[in-house]
Amino acid sequence: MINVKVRVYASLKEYLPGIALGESAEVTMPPEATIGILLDKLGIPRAEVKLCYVSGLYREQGYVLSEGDEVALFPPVGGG
Amino acid sequence: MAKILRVDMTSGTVKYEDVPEKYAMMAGRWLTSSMVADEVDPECHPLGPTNKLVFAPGIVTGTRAATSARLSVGGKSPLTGGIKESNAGTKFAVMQARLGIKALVVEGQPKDGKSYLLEIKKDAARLLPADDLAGKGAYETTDALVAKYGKVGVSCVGPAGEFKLSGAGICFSDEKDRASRYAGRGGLGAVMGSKGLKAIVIDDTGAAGVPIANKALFEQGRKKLLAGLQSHDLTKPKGALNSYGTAVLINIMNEAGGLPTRNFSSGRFEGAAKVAGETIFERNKGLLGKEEYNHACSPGCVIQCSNTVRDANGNEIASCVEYETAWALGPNCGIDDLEAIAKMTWLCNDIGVDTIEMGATIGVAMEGGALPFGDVQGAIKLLEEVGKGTPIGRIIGNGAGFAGKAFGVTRVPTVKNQAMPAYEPRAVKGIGITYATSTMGADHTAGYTIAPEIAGVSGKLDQFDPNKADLSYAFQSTTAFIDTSGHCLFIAFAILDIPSAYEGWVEECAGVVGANWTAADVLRIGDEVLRTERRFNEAAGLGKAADRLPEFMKYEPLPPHNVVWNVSDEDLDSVYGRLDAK
Repeated sequence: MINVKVRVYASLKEYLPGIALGESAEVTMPPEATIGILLDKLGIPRAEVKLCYVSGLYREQGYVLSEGDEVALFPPVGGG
Repeated sequence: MAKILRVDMTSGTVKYEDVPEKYAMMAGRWLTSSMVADEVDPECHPLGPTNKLVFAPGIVTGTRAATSARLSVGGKSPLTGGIKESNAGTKFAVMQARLGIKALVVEGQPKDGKSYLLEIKKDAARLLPADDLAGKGAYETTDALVAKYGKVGVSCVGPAGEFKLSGAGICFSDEKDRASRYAGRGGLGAVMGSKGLKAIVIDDTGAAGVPIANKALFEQGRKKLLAGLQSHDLTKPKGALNSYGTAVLINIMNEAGGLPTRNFSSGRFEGAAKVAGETIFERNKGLLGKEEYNHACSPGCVIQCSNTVRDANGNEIASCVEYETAWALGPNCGIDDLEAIAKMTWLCNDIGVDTIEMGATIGVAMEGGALPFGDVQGAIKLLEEVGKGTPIGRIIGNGAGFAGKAFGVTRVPTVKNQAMPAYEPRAVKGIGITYATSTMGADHTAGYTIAPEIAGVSGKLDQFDPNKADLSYAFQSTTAFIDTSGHCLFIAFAILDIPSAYEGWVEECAGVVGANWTAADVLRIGDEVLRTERRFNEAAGLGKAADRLPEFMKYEPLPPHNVVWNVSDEDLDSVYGRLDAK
């Protein structure tokens, strides 16, 4: 099993109640789990997630996670 | 019949002129940049009598077109030394358009050195003494004019403009008559101050409105763009911007390692979440006992992205605190105190200075040892000094480049002496190309490549890929037409992702002017605007050598990705090389 940290932002926050904005939830996943599988485990609809970052780098939902990865998940966001 | 209203501050007279044929189709940035290029000597002193200020609403401003209440202000910038177009969303724009004033040109300088108020009504304008307003903050000035005139649009400068500081902006009133909407960038407030023009009131009572040459085409286009804005995830009701405001970007820029922190020494800030748009939303929900969605800055906006930051009692501290402002006065200064950021936002609005320039400048002052990073009270004090016009206040009020020299700092995040906004170019290369090559100096709005590089609008691009000269050029050219159309830049998300919204945008503009424009005309006109601005800058001494990022970005790796600026000078030069080749 691997342990990853997950942060959710904007409208995705409702899927991790009790975790403050910018704080991480610790999640244990089977080896070779993808971001998509992580989303399924957390009950976050894949279609609601537009942008995924793993340890600061943009990744698609098919990306395979590793021990200690820090995952940040966003719905569509923009502005400026 | 559209007119040009020309105000001569030297003689104190005003006159209405017919619009020359060459300007007939122009509006917004296309018109301001063309008139500045035609009438202002590129070598003039920006604060002298021969510089001019041109105010022009966009093509569809004043019509029913959604989110189109933008006003372009042009002149020679005292900050960059080049041409400047800075725009704001405000009812002033709608009123000017409805009165048929295609351009308001302010020129000359009063010989008595006094302050004046310009009063504009239907077919009548006059200059009045404004001794009673001289030296007053923008909020007090606006409140006084609204109390006297009632339902009007107000523009003014704060003390910073009167002190002729290069960080000064031009203020416009919002929907609740707050002195909060700024043509902030590039020091045009100092130009207005140098002309003794403290304020303008505009009243469109009895105005004829904006004539539309082809109403069917306009309506067809208007509906398509409106549908796009109301369905796109970023701009729809209760979408990202309406819920969280532009400060929703804080967290993603931080996660991507591109949030400039402590004067551009890192791309990540440990306190980012505390100043983010989601925090403002949740905080207001707790204070008000209900969800509060954002409001419009100007008439007819369907995006409505302006937030409100309140104190612990629920009373408004400032509205709006934009992403750029929250970043500049927050992470860039090592500050994570939202209420303090809102207080500083209010101060900047009142003093009449650009929040981006001020945050960057305070960051440079912190770097130079004038105060520590994270010093909230010290930062507030510096802004108060700007408003008083003390020597230290004038150093800060003249911007990051000026302060860098004063404090012996080499890490000065400017291009063409204008401070960079809230995206680290070492970590996001395309926006760096825009910063470097824009005719405006470092300006994210000149070619907002963040849309694909970070937000994944029109597809997701690799933020670290340096080969984006084509991308930046295309965004700069298209943006020049957005700034001409009178729409807010935030229509870009919908028109990039939804083809029918793009079509609608072009059709509504073509409908107003009676043209047969297509997408090719957008780029043709955008290119023309850029070429005009580029020529002005070259004549003012801003050529290729000015199209560079500050040197430190080439040799200081930026944490957390430890990246340096690696776009070649040849690639930067190729952006405008494309224009020359056409």
